[in-house]
Amino acid sequence: MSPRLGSSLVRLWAFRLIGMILFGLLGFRLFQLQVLHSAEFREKSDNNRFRVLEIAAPRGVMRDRAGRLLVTNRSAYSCYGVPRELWKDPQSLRLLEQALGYEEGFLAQEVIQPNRRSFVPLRLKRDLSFHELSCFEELRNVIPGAFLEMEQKRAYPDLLAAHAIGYVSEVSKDELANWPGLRMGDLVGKRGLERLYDQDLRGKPGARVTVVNALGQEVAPAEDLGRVEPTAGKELWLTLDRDLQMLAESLLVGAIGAAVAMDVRTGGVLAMASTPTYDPRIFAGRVNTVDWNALLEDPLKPMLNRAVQTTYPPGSTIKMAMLLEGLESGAIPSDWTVSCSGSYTYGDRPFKCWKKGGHGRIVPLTALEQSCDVFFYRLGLQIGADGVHNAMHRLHLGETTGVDQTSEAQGLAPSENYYNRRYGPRGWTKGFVLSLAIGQGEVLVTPVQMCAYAAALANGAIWRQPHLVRAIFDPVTGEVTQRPAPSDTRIEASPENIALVREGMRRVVWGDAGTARAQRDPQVAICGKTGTAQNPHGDDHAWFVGFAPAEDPIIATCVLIEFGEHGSSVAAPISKEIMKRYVLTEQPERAELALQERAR
Amino acid sequence: MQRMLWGIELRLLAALLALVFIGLVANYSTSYVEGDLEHWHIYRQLIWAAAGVVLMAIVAATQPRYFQFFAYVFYGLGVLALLAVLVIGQTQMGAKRWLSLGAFQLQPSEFAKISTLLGLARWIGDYPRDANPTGLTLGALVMALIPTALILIEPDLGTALVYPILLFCMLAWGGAPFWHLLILAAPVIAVVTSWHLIVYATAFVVLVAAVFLSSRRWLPMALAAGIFLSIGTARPVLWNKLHPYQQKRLLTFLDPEADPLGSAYQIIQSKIAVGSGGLTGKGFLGGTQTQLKFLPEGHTDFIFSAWGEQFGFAGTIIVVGLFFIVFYRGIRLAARSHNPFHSLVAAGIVSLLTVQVLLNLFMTVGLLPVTGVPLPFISYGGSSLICWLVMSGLLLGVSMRWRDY
Repeated sequence: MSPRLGSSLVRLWAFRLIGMILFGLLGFRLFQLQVLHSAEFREKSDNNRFRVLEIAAPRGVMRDRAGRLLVTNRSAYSCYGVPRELWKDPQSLRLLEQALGYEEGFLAQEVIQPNRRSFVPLRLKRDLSFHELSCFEELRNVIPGAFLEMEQKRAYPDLLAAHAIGYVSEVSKDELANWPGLRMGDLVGKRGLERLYDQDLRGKPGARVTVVNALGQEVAPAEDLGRVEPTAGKELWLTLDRDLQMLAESLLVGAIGAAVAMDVRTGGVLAMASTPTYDPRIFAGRVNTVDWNALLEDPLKPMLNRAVQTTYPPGSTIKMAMLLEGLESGAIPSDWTVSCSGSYTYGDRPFKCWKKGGHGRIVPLTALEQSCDVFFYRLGLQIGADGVHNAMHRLHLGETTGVDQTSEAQGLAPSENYYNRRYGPRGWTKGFVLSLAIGQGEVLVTPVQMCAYAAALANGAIWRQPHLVRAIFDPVTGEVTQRPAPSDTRIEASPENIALVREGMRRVVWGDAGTARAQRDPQVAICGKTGTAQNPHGDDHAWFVGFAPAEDPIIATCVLIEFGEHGSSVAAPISKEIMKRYVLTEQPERAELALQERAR
Repeated sequence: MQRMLWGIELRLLAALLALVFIGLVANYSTSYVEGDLEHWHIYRQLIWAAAGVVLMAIVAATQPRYFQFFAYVFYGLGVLALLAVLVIGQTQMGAKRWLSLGAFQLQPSEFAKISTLLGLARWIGDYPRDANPTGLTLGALVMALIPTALILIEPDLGTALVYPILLFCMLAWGGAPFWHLLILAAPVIAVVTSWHLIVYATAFVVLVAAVFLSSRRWLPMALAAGIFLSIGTARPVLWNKLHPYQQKRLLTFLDPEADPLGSAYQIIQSKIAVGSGGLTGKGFLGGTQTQLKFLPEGHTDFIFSAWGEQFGFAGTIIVVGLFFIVFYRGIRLAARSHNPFHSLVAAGIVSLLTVQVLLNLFMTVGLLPVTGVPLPFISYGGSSLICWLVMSGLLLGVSMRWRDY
């Protein structure tokens, strides 16, 4: 052994002593932390000062065809709470319930109790009112674990197209179970475009970490500890035109009914109005029960989108389809002549024309112009129940159009089969068909079907699927996704027959005996068809379907007014105003030319 | 053969294997988040542990004289590896610390600890007893400073810190004069005291007096004074050359509560984790700090906090006790080994282990700044675990042959 090492028993003990002191110090420190001050650290770890908060993704906005905002977002305060901290203090939980205007025990039992062990903050109330905010601010220092967060709320700059756009509201229990990726308190689209395009609009929430003090108040955002930015929802670029929508809604004020306008060239819906309407803002957060019940119990059903979700008998507006079927099937020649004496007797029963004195000699063109019922009774007998079905099917009447709206109604295009099933083969007579041919009885359509029908006749060749979304824009990537190719279909009819029908529609307005003569306008050549549908529940429904300008049309409309009595006097003026506005703004030079021509 | 089976210090072996086992348990718990094994690192650690135990047995069975013979070769390889890191190393988080070997990432600064230790043991053990001890100390100083400098360049402050301490301990064990040790410690004392003038002046007087009293010569005293004064004045200059994060770590250590978001976050969370464990802990996998991810670096530098949270004072005292057993038995072994190389290797390993354990644990309990020294045997990391098992093998090998000359 080296003497240099051997001599040092001292060194061994020096090493041992230093080691013992240091290990002893460590042991004492551990005793101090884990035994003496354990309670204090336990407390700190139990409500650890770091909180992970969700950053809501801004929901996608909706723009009209010119890029003007129809739906956007604005900031609002929401109240959040950490269940674990609130649960420990029933007293302040009760105060919080009062401040937020909840019934006593609601938060404790429904919201906090099931999550009482969680550190993850829950949204207790959205969009606090000014009163609730000030109540909360007063309590702020005595309620640990509750805090405010700025959040986005749906906003509607002009409150337009409430039905078509739909609304958002807090996710229901069913939706939570069936839709992946949703959390309690999230906002989801409930109806209309908000519902159909919810996945696109929603975006992806982010998260951030904050540091809070012992009262649960945020001290500073801890950006170092991690922040995930939310991904904004995608924008919907609509075919709606804000001005036209506004006009349509203002023209419908006071009435019960619907108006739809479509661009004939694309199938894009320019306006879709339904009255009475409702205020989508009441749904923006947790729905107020009083408002909700008021809407549900309103006999006028303001939540109903009458343009899409309600069916009506079309009345005389169906006559173009019937005439087209008669001509196409060869049941009548194009110069088929009928004599109208004001009534037609089939079996033992008289079927009346709307004009008591009768129309006299009627050919197809004048039948449309004057809307002669007797002509169509006779036509109905020629084509039969299946003919009625074919007539409607050719133009997608009594069928869902596939417009991007929720709960679209189908309507009904009855056939012989239908009658056999419903009444038995001997339970019905051909007399039923007489009513169908003038759009009464079982035939049922929606305004959007009728608008697409008018648009199809207007463009003369193709039935275009109505739609409201033309593109989806991703503000993050800048990517624009065009609407998938619509299911447009060619109309199975010869151009001559369609031309004849169109000429009939022109004469409704421009003919000497046209039923809508009053709607003549020197600037815009409007064509169309009036309708008055008998209504077993009250006054007749008024219809007008039409397009403009007569040559090379660009817009088609359908207006329905419940209990409006006369299509010519109630529905037609509204239709005219809408079409005129669109044609004049789209083709001002053409309107100018039309005026000059007339002046000559 | 008898010796190889029965000569093993059983208490030492048991303590070392217990530490490896505890390391695996702790790594499992930090892999485990909210009911799932979220991270793969426990599997890797298992493989490293198995390989390391095999290596330990091989090293223990090998005659230490082979290590003595090749000590300088090992030392040279260690330095080469450190140079290689600087040239072709992987840069991660702003530091070049890893060598990529296929699928594995090697941390040469860990292996260089063994090679430097062997080199120093050979140098100090071989130094003639009658020769001037100044040569002993200077030679050892140079040998230790080369790897220290290379690791500082990486930069890896925590690991670099370990080498001078190892040098100090081995020289102390190897019989360098007391005043040599004082002069070696002078720069550290100067840096620590230079923040406060009166403390600095007092330390100066005490140090210079102690050097003079132990050496009885003027020259060492002047040298001590010169080093102390120059380091004391250079400190503010060097301070400004530190990485801001290093400065911040050192500063916030002094008052961690002042900046709960920055570097001190780790210390606070670590103390909360350990403290909230209480007497018996929150139970295996029951740590809210660990399992809820409030604890940063829970599987590496702060793994002891995770352990302490789950098993409380009972658990931490067991770990500290095991390290103390290794220290106590190891230093006893070093003292009774007849061969100076054996003795120095044992003393070096025990010193290195104890220094690293104490640096890590004192950091964990908030008594030292966060330097990034992993906890031997326990912290996640293949290079570190393998190295410690190799050193365990050396220690066990020495323990089987303590009677050999």
